[in-house]
Amino acid sequence: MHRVPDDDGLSEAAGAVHPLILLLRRPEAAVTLDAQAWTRVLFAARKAALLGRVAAGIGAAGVLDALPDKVRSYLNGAMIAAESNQRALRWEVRCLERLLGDVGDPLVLLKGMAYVAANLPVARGRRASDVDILVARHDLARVEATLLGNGWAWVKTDPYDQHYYRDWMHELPPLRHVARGVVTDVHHAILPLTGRIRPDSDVLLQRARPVPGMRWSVLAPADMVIHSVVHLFQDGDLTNGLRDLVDIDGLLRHYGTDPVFWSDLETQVSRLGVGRPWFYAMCYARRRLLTPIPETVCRTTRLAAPSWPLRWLMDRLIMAALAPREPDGGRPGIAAFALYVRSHWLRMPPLMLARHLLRKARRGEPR
Amino acid sequence: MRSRLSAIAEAVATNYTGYRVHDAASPIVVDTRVAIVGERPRPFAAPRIIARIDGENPFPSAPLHQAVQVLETALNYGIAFLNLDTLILHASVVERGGRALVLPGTSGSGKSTLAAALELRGWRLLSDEMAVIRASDGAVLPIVRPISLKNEAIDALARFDPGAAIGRRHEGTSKGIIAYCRPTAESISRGRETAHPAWLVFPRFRRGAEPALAPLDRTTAFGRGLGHGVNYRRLGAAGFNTLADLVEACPAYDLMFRALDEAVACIESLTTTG
Amino acid sequence: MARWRRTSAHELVWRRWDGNAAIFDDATGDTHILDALAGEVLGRVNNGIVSAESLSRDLAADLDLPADETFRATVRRTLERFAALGFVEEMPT
Repeated sequence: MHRVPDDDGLSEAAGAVHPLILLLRRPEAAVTLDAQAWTRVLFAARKAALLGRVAAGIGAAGVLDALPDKVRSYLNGAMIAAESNQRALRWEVRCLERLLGDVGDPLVLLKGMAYVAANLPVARGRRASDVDILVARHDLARVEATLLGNGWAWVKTDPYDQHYYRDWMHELPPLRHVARGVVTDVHHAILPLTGRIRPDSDVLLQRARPVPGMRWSVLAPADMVIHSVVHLFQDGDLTNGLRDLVDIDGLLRHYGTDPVFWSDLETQVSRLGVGRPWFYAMCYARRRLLTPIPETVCRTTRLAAPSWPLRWLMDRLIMAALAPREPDGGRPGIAAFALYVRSHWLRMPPLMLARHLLRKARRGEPR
Repeated sequence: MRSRLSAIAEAVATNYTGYRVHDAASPIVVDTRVAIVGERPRPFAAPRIIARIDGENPFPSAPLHQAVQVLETALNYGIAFLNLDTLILHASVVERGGRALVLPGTSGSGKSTLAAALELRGWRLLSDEMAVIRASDGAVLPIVRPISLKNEAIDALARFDPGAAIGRRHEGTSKGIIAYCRPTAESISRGRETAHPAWLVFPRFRRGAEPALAPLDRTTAFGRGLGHGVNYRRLGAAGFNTLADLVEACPAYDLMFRALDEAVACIESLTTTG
Repeated sequence: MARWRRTSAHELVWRRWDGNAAIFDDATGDTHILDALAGEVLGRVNNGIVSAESLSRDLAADLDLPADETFRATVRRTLERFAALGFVEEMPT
């Protein structure tokens, strides 16, 4: 079997690791960076929507005051921007709560807003573009009607897009509040309806945990990790690939101190049938971010590894997609597109896939 | 900054005379990367240019003769979206004796022309387009770049002071005729010195109007300031406090003017007495 | 009689200038500029529970204005505007 190394971080000192990756691993290393390294960090972190996370890490490590003025100003700016982003989304969540409190049960926050509501360390400095919520399938129609009747409207009104979401996807077409401009994605599952892997939403909803003082719940820790994992390695949204991997790393570090978490995670991975994406997540979290994962968990997880030709190909594609952008580099091209095709392949039967990509191409969208 | 276009090279050579080119041997932290590149929409079509800012193309392409305007707009855009811990207002800023005069105004208010005129009378230019105010202490950070003059303002400044270093006129831009006035050597060489705001004056050029300086109460000044905010909302409470501190630190005025010498006289009377 | 109180949902940052005020609503990120009357109304509800009647009476006395129906209606409308923004609420009777 072709063996992908679990750790590519041994040569940190030789400068082989991108300084952004270095800061994500060890924020206290900020004091060792020179001007050229900061130029690369600021550029790559901005492009990966990670500057706020980097700033939060450096702040928590207590070395912010030791950095050059200009760098500190950028890091403070990123923290301020993340706060104002979270303020807007928190307010949106309250507005949704007021409206949907009697319409859906349970109401589950997903991704970024779940991290914020549950007050997880991974939320610090994190920016999100929209609010993601999960509701039971039988509440979906009422939730949709309530939002449409109270100031939300479709972002995409094209009949093809509407059709695409309704028939094939795991969420309603995105809804935007007309006055506040914030987009809400209402999910009824965490993966598309047509895909090969379809985790059972009822299991997730039953296990969801209420947030004190709110009508909202968040997914159980293991399910929260699994959602982030399938979003990245199955759903194929690699636009924020490194950011999502940082989320996974942060969640595993936070919850991983509890041994019960790991056994629950293994149970859920096999129950929901997400062994393959979890395998990828584990590999790349360890390699890129040195995420501590118990050896027993790694052993079980490797059983889900793909055969070597696929693994070699995926490795090339994923490492390219997770690489920080360089100021003088071009746009990420082939790798991101190949993964996008792959992710569509995974969630749609091939004929549907061809139709979808063709339509997107004709309308001149990147995807 | 990077470009292979001769128009850009020429503009940089004239508008940015006196600037230091950064020595590649002693690297600095680069804020943003601006490239002006040419492209042909179709084979044999007239070449067009496009601004690439940190690898993105936020603006549509423009005809080749607008190269200089595209460059300056791209630099403004790059600065406005840097996301520092600074409040940015649409304003010109000049300084004398360590005290800064902030002149917020929309395009056409005459703020840039007035700043250029004041610079020729001994004030130091900090910025002609955007006041970048540090949230932590309220200081204005300088961004000393060529002052953009439009249409009749070009002649007005040349009449006010024939010594003004006004460059070539670019005709047929989206804003009419544009020319750039090079900042004085002193403004350029002191381009890293911050200054604390001491006066807030909202200039308004109006043809035929008697020059008038009218004091504003703080609430009104605050409301006006809000209207000129570029990134106010993004800063949240820090933006609110920075703007509120500004109106508390500076007496604020409306300045109506029809001619540069009258406007400069109003400013001089204000800043030498109070 | 309708009694009003502040809500806990919105943390407000205040600046007061010559009777007027600017406030920053930390929940929404919105900034509001208040004239003297609006500033007084919000300030007094923030300081404790008040009825619309006593608020109108006290304000009129302090501002040296007649507490007539026009004035009382203005105060009520102001309270309702703040209620719509979520800053204050009418207490259930």
